[in-house]
Parts: sequence; structure tokens; C-alpha cells
Amino acid sequence: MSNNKQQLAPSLAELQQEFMSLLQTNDRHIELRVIQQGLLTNVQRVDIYRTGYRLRLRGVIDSDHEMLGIYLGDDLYAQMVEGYIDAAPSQHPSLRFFGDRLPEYLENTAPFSDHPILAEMASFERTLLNAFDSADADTLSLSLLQQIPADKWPLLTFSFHPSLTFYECQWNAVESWQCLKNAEPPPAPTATAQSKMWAVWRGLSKLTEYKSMLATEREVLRVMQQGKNFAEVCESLLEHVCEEQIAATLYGFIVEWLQRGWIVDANWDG
Amino acid sequence: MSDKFLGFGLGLRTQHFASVINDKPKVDWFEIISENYMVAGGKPRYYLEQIRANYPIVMHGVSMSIGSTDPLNFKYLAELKLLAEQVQPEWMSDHLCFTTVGGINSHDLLPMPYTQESLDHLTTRIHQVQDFLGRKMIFENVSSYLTYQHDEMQEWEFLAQLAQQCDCKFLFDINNIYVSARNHNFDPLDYLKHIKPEWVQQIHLAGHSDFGTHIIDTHDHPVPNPVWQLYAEYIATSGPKSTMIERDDNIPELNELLVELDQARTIGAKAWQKTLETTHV
Ligand SMILES: [Fe+2]
Repeated sequence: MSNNKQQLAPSLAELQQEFMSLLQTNDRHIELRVIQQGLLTNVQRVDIYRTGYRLRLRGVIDSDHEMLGIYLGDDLYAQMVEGYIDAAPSQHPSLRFFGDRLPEYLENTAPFSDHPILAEMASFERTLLNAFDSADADTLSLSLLQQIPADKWPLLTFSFHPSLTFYECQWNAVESWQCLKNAEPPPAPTATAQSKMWAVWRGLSKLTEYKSMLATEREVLRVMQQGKNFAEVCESLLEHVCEEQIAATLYGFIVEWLQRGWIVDANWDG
Repeated sequence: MSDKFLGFGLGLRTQHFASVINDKPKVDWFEIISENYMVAGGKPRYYLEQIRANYPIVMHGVSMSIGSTDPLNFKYLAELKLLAEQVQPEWMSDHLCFTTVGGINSHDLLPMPYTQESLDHLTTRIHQVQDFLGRKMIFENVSSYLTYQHDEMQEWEFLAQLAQQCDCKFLFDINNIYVSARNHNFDPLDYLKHIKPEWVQQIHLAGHSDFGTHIIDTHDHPVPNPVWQLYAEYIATSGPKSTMIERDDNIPELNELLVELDQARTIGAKAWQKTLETTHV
């Protein structure tokens, strides 16, 4: 029987399926399809592809998740990479997206799921990557503030840079990531009752930047990103800031946003 | 598709962005890996735009999976087409291989069996892709570590048939031929002499890792002597062919690659002078 099977030429579709089974599950059937010759055995020939496949994917996680790798240490990191390659094969033409499901994998797979800071750290690294190559837009400068007529401020709305995103975490994932980046030992993992908020964006120098945010600023941004105007934002702030400080607080935010290149358009025509 | 001779180029790598922009090195053209620029924005696109202003660009893709029995990925092709509209490359290439199976991407250039079924499959798909993109594609011969028992012809016969059957042109990778020749024990000159110059649009030169028993196509070394020799051999009769050096790993300073590129120029000048002399006699 098996002899018979060897002699039947596979269709192109069958052969390609066999090749993928080798790469993914180490199914060795394809060895039977290979011409034996020279100094290499068929086992070795086929292994070159199987090894190359895994090395290539591993290289992507190595460069996308450098700090997570250091945090995990060599053994756990290797276990994560091997498990992830099997669990989440690439479905995108670009390797840029191969690691997209890593946070989810860490969240749902033991022993990593026992340490929620790992998924959070992976997710932070992916947020940085996404900011790095998100869409471009020209940003407005501080001179904008002189152009807005005094009576138009209540109507003011903003559009924000496409790279600006927010990252929320329960654990000290970003602080740990920062320590590792500075080649310092990370703190012990700790969680806070209130989740912490970070802004991540691509700065004016095209480098990815991030900063922690207080609830007030996050709330203002949330409302303004919905296209609400300044008057509406002031109203929503009443819960967070006492009335006489609202204008100064908002003005302070806008100056910082302009300096960071977050604002790409402003409108006060209503 | 432009048939013109672009001269001697390099693969554009992120490590060299700054020196290419600031120093405007003597490189006749650059080849970009298309997929690396199929992103919305940021640094890669920003640098590419500036480099495009000073150099001709050709686009080289790795994910078309032209030989796969999966359906063509039209979302990918649409993104590729959009990038081409923005970059306006001299031409676009990908590889004669399959990369995807059942929607999973191997991110490797997996070898096709050299059969009539493969030829017919490739011919149909190449026409579909060219119709969609509105331009001709060129396809590169890949290196390989195995050949199939049910192959019906040699690799060079396969290429020759394909060229005739679907009127397509090749990105002829001389290193890949050398690598495969060693791995499959054939004479690379047999290969070269079957590929007519009019089928070849562009040439790749690269280095590899020689393990004695076999060669792995790592693109992490300078172009080695046997590959230079094969190159000289081919272009002695082919006439001028746009030539470029591919370095994908262990990437050195740009200057080091410029020295290699000069070596290609010297070989080219020598070969084409001879061609010119013989045609003038
Ligand atoms: Fe190549």
C-alpha cells in the first residue's frame, strides 16, 4: 500500500498541503516525494525548510518583543515562541503582523496566563509598533492658539494624529518595560485597583513616544475625539475639575498636545 | 514594462536610509522589498519618498505566492497596486514559488515541482495578476534544498517553457542558481545556457553559507568568487542587464556594499565591451 502511494504523483495542491504539514506539524510525509541524491539525506533536506520556517518566525518575535524576551528569560521565552508559532500561524502576507495575537496567546495559555503582566507587556510592545508605521498627517503648531478668535473658543474642535492611541493596563507593565529598556532590573509585578492609562504616539521626529495620562486628560481626549466642541468638553469636565480651573486646565492640555504633534486639524466654524 | 538598462543597484535596507539620503552614494537604482512599505506611514515611507526623488526604484515582493493553489490574495494585490501607483517603480518582481497554503503564510519561498501542471497553473495566475495590476511582472528563480520525484523536467527547462508559454520575464538570481546547483548536483552552466538573454530583465547577486555538504541561501555574506564567475560567464553573452546586490542579513556599512557594486561594474564593463566589439566587427 505505502509503496503504491509513493509511486502516485501528488497533485500540486496535495504536494503543497504536504509541505505545509511539514512546516506546521512536522508531518514527514513529504520526504517520500524528494529525490535522494548527493551528500544530504531527505530528512536533512526537509529539515532545512522546517528549521528555516521556525527560525524566521522566531526572529520576528525577537525583534518585535525584545523587552518581553528579557523579562521572561531564555527558557520561558523559547517556550512561548515555540507555542505561539504552533498556535498562531501567520495569516498575513507581511511578517509585520505575525505577533498581533501574542497578547491574546499569553492571556490564555499557561503558564503565561498566571502572570497577567506578560500579556500587558506584549500588548504595550504591539501598541508601540502600531504607532511606528500608522498613517502620516501634518501637525499644527503652537501658533494655532493665536489664530482662534476669542469668541470662537466654545466652538473649537480638533482632529488628532492617526498614530495617537491609548493603552490601559492594570499591572506595572510599562514601568517594567522601561526598566528593561534602560538595562535595569524590573520591579516586582504589582497591580493597581485603578487601571493606568498611557498615550502612545509617533512624535515629530518619527520616533514612537509614550507618556502616562491622568484621568482628566484622558476624559478630555475621549470627548474631543468624538468630535465634541470645547463648550461640551468643559461641561463634561465639571465632574473632574472645579469650574474656575477648567479653562486653564484645558489650555494647558492643548499647549502640550500641540507641542507633541497630536493635533492635525482645528475647526471653530461650528 | 521598461526594458531599459538601469545599471548597478542595491537592495535598499533601513540601516542605510540616512546615508543614502545624506551622501547620495553612487548607486544607479535601488530595489525595495514591497511588503516593508505596505504600511500606512511612518519612517519607512518617509525615507522612501526622499530616496525616490533621487533614484530609480524597482519593487521586489516576497508574498505574491504565485505558484500556490490557494486563491490569489486580491487584498494583497490591491495594496501592492496602490504602492506601485505611489512609488512608480521601473518594474515589479516576485518569486516563482509558493508561500501560502490554506491561508497560512510560510514566509518562505517554497519550490514548485517542475511539471506541466505547475506551468499551466503559473501561466493562468501570472496572467490574472498582470491583468489586475495593469502591468507586467517579472519573476525570480528561487534557490532550493530539495527536488521532487515527480518533476518532469529540469529547472532551466521549466523556466524556458514558462518564458515561451506565458511571455514573462525573469529576475535571474545567479547566486540561487549556484546554490541549487550545489544542492542538487547539476552544472550551473547548463542552467545559464538555457536562459535566453531576452527573457532576463534583471540580475540578483548575493552571498550564501557553504556547509560543504550543501549551501544555505542566507544572503549574509559578500558575493563569493564562484558567483562572480558565473555572473561574468552569463553577461559575457547576454549584453547589459540591470544588476543588483542583495544583502539581507549581517548588513555591513553602505561603503562595503559600494565596493562590491564596483566589482560588478568592472565585470560588466569588461563583458559588455567585448559584446560591443564583436557586434561592431
Ligand atoms: Fe534574489
